[in-house]
Amino acid sequence: MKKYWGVALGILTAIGGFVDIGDLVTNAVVGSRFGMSLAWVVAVGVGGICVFASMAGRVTALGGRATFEIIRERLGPRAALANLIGSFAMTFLTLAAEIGGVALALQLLIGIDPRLLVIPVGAALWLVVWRVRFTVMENVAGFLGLLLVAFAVALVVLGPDWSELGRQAVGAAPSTGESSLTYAYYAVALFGAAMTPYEVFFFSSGATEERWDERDLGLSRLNVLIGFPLGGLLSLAIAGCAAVVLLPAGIEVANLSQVVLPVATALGVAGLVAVTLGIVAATAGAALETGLSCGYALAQYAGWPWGKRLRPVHAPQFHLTVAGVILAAVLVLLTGVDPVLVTEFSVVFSAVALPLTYLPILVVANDPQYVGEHVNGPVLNAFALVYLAIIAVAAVAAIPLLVLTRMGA
Amino acid sequence: MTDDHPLHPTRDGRLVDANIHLLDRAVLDRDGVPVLAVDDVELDWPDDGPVRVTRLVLGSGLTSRFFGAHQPGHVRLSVPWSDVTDLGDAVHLGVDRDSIDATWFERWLRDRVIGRIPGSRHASG
Repeated sequence: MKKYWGVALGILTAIGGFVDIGDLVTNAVVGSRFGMSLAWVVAVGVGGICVFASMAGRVTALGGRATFEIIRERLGPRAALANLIGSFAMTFLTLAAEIGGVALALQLLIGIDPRLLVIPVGAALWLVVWRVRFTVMENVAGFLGLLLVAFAVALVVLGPDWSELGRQAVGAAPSTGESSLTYAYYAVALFGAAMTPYEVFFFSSGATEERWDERDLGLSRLNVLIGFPLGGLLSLAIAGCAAVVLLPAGIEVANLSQVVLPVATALGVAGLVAVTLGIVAATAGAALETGLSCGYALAQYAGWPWGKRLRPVHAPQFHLTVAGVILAAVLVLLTGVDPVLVTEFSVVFSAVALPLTYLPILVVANDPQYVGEHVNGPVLNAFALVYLAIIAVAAVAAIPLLVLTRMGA
Repeated sequence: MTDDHPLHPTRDGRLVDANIHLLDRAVLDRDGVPVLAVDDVELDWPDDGPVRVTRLVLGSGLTSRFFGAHQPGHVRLSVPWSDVTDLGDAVHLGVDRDSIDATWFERWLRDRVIGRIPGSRHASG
């Protein structure tokens, strides 16, 4: 019984933990402009994150080596340092977006200027890193994040023309009035939102934090293979809500209140409160994951002791890094920069940074010295290589599309 | 790399490519706690005998390249080769991390900054 409870818990937290500010904003923007015609990108992205996370989890659980230790020994100090700078900057940008997301969601709940909220939010996040158990942190954030199911409930209550939504999804073409360049730009953004590099740093380092070994491998595979696709469905529900309510009304998503507007329309105040609490939990959980991931990446590259499971005095550089990035993200947000804009940048640059971490993990997942007999099978390798090609195309196309479409304007 | 336990380095052991199996590998103490990464190896090259690895130079690799590789000897953190117990996906040492002199920055950070914040001596788990 306890075992099934553990499986259920893992899956539930994977669902709640899958969606972050990038998924929320990008899916709502895409739904309000393109209907469901980019749903295939979410499916591709979820498949990719399943492949990537299962490889990273296996490498960590069996070999005990974390992502950036591997990147350094495979690429050497110089190339790995360039990789570190890119991945770290990317993860920091995501952290700022997530903290901004927490503040915006709290503003919807209690009506206080988000700029006044970022300092207490940052302080609370640091306290959690400093004092709260890793598993408690993950489970609370994941469970409360499940309130985002309100998006799916709202979509059903709205009673859309399902065959029309299905037609949009199958048609996979830009709606009238949108160019194919903007369509491609949002495809890359959506892919970057679903498949973010920090998820993998966090997933593999979290395996060490929770002291996984070979026996936990099956469990982790189950969590990923069930939890992430269900999280992907949640993403599609966000896009669906926007497609049903915002697209016909000609509302383009520019802030968080528009993201939750369909839920308020369908479910009233109770639904609005529930979904907003879900956003607070999901973005706060992702802020913790990105903040810790900055510390993980730097400490693993440098060979410093890392992790919440150690006493802070035994991992001083790690704790300095995490506290430092949280402080820096708060300072960035205090300048008054729009968190939604930061989010839109972060998902595109996550597509750019993805090959940096994907390729070394793929190589090592095939190296018996690390994973023993559990090297990638031929089927997984075939998928992994297809994704390598997709990731490479998205990374190369991202910045030209960003410039050509002026961020999808 | 089929042998799990390397033979003693002074006897005929297995073949190790320093570039692939040693440099930039994570170095772990006997409890598996990261110490630093392998930055360099120190060699002893006697006139009448084979070259031997005497010490592993450890470093984070974050500043040495930028500020120049020729740091004064006394700040180069290193461990004798005899402390190495296993070469696998990481370099395993048979000694405790605390017995290796931490870098001055880590010492300062631990004692003067992190150590002064309440709760710093308890793991949050």
